[in-house]
Amino acid sequence: MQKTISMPNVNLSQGEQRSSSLKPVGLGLLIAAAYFVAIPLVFGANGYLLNVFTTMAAVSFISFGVWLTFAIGRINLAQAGFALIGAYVTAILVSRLGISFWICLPLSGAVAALLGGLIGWPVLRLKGVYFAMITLCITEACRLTALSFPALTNGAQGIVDLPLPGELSLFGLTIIPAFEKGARLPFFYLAGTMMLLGLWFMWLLDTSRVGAVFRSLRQNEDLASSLGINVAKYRVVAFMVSCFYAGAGGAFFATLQQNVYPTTFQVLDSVYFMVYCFVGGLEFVVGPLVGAVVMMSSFELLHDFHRYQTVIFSGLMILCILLMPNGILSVIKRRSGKSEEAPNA
Amino acid sequence: MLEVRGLTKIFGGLTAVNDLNFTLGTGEILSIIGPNGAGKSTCFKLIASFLNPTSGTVRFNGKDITGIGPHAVARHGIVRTFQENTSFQDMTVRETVLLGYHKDCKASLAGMIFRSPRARKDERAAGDYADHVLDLLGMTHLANTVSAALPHGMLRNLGIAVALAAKPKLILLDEPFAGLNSDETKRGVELIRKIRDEGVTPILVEHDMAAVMSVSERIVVVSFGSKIAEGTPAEIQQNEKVIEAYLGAEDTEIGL
Ligand SMILES: Nc1ncnc2c1ncn2[C@@H]1O[C@H](COP(=O)(O)OP(=O)(O)OP(=O)(O)O)[C@@H](O)[C@H]1O
Ligand SMILES: [Mg+2]
Repeated sequence: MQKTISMPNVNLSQGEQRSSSLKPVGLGLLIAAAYFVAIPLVFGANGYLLNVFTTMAAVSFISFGVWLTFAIGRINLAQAGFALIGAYVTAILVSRLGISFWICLPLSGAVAALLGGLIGWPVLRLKGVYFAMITLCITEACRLTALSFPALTNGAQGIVDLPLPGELSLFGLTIIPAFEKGARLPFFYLAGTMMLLGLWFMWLLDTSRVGAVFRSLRQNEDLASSLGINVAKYRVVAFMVSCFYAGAGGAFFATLQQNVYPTTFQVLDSVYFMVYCFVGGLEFVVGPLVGAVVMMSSFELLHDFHRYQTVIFSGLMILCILLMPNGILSVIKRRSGKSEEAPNA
Repeated sequence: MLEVRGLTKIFGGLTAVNDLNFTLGTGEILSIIGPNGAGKSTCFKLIASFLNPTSGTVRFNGKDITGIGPHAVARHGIVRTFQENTSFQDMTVRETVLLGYHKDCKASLAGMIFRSPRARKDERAAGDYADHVLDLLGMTHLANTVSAALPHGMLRNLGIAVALAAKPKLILLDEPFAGLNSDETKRGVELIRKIRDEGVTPILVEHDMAAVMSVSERIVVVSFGSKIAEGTPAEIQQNEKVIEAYLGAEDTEIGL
């Protein structure tokens, strides 16, 4: 029974620890520079492409939440549902009460998180397929709820003609000027800011003790609870954070499109958010971003195939998951791991 | 310190634990023994609140802790280990032990995420304590090994290490020597004495009779969920009912 301890494991974890403080910061700066400087310089004149990048950033933002629920070992298909909730909160508050978008954005996240906490408390006791199924039902329930309360949501007609975000000022000082009609860059920058802030927070969380607790829940809830860890509390916290990302992301999309319909976020969107996490890699905080960028760019690149676009895209998606079951980043990590090991051997 | 009164657990029609009574003083090494399926692990699960008893109470330092939930029991200072090897597969030994310390972290959630001074102080304390625990268990050289790569003996040890990291007052050890060779068991017996000397009261469930007889100060024997004897190792070895229960058990094992 005596197995020898495999040394590569030891080396790998030590190596990770040593470089963990510098690498992520560099990567963050690289992403920021690429998004805020390179893309506007190269594609600034192309409104359509700017829109694609805006969507990519915002969709990554929402997917970070799904990634976090994966961290506690749950497959979360409710993300589109909570995004829809966030979208409606903003749409209703902005159009009915004239409340500023800049208040509605975080507020939508908070409302989604609160509802997520209430729903999550009982539902998070389920695991595996059961949790996936019930969260899928939550997404569908959100759509049906939006349809059934036309007094509030305007039913299938949706809430349209939402105003663009106004000026954000503090003590008479303009921090963000009002968004102009037809201008793409403001939304592009807003989505990028949300994405980077979201990524930064996820990284802080993942590398903190709270992140370690989340990972312990994925691996063994019984052991965690035997150590005095309040399992129910931590998984609700993870789910609420996830829902916050959904709610704020939904608020962004409602404002970007200037309308909300019950179909703005559907089960299929939940599935996509999940797939982005898979494709990028569940081990890495940037996984959802990588997944969203790769998937959405390939979809755009397949544009010339017209009506075969979706078919080819779906095929690629299946191939991707088959060939790289742990995501694209795991392949890159294995490569760089090998080259680092070479001098040792 | 621990007082178990009339503890009973019925699974459907099966009475796994039947009207069990015993008490335990601080610093005493108590063992619970009995044939397979006697209800020993179930008794631990009831004390640690992993299961709710059908009836009966568990009191710890005068407080009723019956059915308050596993993490709450741990926060009172009772931590159990598991009969099967149980670990966080992808985590290194040190990460696991650091997590064991979690309930003593004072920082808030936000403080932990944003690295408040409190949280950093917690981490330093956790790190120091983890080093101490790993040293105590002779696992310092394995600190950066992933749990999944550990040999069986070290996994058993890790189970104890992570429980100790939670700074328990009372530790419930479910078959700590299962599958260990005689050398490892001997070291295990020493370890239990060391743990006790550090101020952690151990209760053992164990099948290795030689180890039980050498380490225990008092033994409780259960059979079919009921206590059939209690006493010092010498008394238990002479006890008619105990011999009968074990012989009976051996008969059925032969029958299998
Ligand atoms: N969750 C459960 N549901 C139904 N029956 C159970 C459950 N857990 C344990 N039992 C039964 O209760 C009895 C006592 O089990 P327990 O695990 O406590 O025995 P044990 O004394 O620890 O045995 P061993 O020495 O083999 O570990 C057994 O007959 C077992 O099958
Ligand atoms: Mg048992």
